[in-house]
Amino acid sequence: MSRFRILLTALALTIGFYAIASAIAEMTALERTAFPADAAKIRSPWARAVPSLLATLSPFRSELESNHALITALQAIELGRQKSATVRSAEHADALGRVRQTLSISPYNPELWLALALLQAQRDPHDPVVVEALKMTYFTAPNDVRLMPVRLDIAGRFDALAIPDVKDLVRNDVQLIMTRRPELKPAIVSAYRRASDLGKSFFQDAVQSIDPSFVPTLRG
Amino acid sequence: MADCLRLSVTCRKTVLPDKSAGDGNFLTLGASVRAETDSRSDVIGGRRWRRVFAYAIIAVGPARRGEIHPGLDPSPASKSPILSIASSLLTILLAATPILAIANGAFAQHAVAIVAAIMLATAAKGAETELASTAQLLKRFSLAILLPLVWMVLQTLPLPFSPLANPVWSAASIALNDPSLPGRISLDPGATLRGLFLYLVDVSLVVSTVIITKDRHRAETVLFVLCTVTTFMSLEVLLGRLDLFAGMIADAGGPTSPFPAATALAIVTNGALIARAIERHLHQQDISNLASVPLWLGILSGLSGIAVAFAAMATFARGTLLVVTGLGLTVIVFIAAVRRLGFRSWPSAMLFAAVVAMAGAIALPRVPSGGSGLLGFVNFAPEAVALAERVCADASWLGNGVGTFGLTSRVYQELGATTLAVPPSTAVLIAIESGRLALVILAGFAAQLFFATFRGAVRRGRDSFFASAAAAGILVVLCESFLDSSLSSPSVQIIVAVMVGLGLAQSAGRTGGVKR
Repeated sequence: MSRFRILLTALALTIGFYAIASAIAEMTALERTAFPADAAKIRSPWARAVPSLLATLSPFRSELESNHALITALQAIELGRQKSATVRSAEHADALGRVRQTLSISPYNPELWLALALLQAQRDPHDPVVVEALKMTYFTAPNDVRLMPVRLDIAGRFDALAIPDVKDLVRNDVQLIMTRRPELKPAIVSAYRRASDLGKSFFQDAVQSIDPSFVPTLRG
Repeated sequence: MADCLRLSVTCRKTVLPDKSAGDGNFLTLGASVRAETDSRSDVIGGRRWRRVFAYAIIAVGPARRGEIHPGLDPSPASKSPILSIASSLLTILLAATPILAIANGAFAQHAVAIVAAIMLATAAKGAETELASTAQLLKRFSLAILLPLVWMVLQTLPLPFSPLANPVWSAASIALNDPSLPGRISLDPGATLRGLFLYLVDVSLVVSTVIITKDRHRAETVLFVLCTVTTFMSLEVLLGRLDLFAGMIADAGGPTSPFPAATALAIVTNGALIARAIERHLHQQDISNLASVPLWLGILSGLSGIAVAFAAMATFARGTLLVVTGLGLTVIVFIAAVRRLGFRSWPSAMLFAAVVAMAGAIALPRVPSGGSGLLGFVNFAPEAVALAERVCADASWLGNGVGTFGLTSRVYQELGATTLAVPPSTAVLIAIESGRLALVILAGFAAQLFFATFRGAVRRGRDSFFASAAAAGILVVLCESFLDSSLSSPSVQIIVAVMVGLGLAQSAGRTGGVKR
């Protein structure tokens, strides 16, 4: 058997196996999920255990693995919100590990960074990973309006607004909503109500500088 | 006996076995003699063929018992049943491209990959002579095949030097509080690995087509199917404008739509069919008989196909696409002319390059510009072009990684954009994902393919239209890669891969090329 024939057969087998494995992974994968718009009502679209992709396939299908990691994270966040004791559970740690692992091979994923910020904040709100993960969502999708409500919520509740860089980024979100996306103003109100004192003061200042007439609604 | 010896000496002086045309052609010392030996009817059983065959046997000496000279065997591959299966699969795959063009789902890509894998595995079982000549042919293009593959692998590997890595990796390392996180060129290695597999599928399609279409009968079938498929796709564009089929094609003229490229390639393949009909007629014994049914059938069907494709192209209202297609047709006409004039392949290629350079120097300043630099030839919505301009300006010189345009473009999207941005042209996409240097190198490889098929067309005999169609197709696709990103569509990739494979297979014989 000539070397060329062996090479062609090997190439055919590689392509064939990859295509079959990839098609099976696609068929068994869960439906793509979008990040919830309301931070107070985060819910997972999938109630049962999220299946793992074949370990050998996951580097090649990072988008499917990212989706599964996001669903796992949403499940853990929902559970942590309902029963705060679960944030110390092995499931929560597994979800956090899965998200970190996925981000370490596919870092251009703003939804997953946001999920990491929320998961880490449930365990330790003062962990620097919360702010850094929040910054990464701005770095990877600065103008994505679907992520703005949750970003404002995280920034207001935790220590993020103490950092000047983050303050500027959040102020930009507030300005964009106030001037170009008024239908999202309730997200600012919601973030203000859940925010810490530092967060409340920031939102009030930011809104005051753009539209003072909205401040009474904010305080509402 | 003395007459026989004299005949033998004469034959040794004037007729040599053509290594480039392993399917029964003979390299002769002039175009007229080549024309004489190239008639299809001669191959099938005409008197002239038998005479030349006899001359050649005398010239090269009789074959030993059970041994068939590869240059004289008319079509040993056509007898191979395993290659007939591969050929049928290729036909099915090509026939499916108009459907792929409409329903462009992820599963379609998997199906194409599986068919391509089966086809390659089947073609790999072909005759040893076919595989040996294919290996020899592809050796010349080994750098062009391997370099993109190596580059994609390099993009995914962890780098020892962080300055070469994409900045997202250092940011991720800080955010995850993991200093050991390695940096990479690609910002998503998974997407780049997927791109690598898609590239391997295209390579396997080219290689399978080369093996399958070494036989001229199968090559003709594949050309007919290519012609039918591209013309049918042009017809789809026209049907899509009728109320009855409204909505069948989402955005036929969009940047990633396969239809503009399909119409351009339909014109090229139909042009090649006309060239074939004329070539066949000119090689007949009675050239002056213009009442030949095959001649007019070939010309009229080719012209009808061209008319349909032109009508479809007119709906896109893109003058640059028309110019590029005109360039493709010029290649076919130019090759036919230099062959008639008996030019050699290198001077012909040089002359064509000079003519195109001059025409380009005159025409380029008049092309309406949609942007600066690489985006100068693009003529789409200003917001799509502006986004690509920003991504391109910020992209690393090593590229952001193959398959990552969608991810990168999210950073630059305007407020409220919900759909993923699409690259305005293949050239811009390559510059962003693989780096600007990769664009230059890939254009060089395309030029190498073009000149290989161009020279093959000039020096081949009656079957030159295969290689001339490929040369024209490569030039059209190369130019169009600066106009839109239709090359990123799977259906266009299949058509182009088959066209290139067909051209390469028929630009040289089974036993290697002959320098002229």
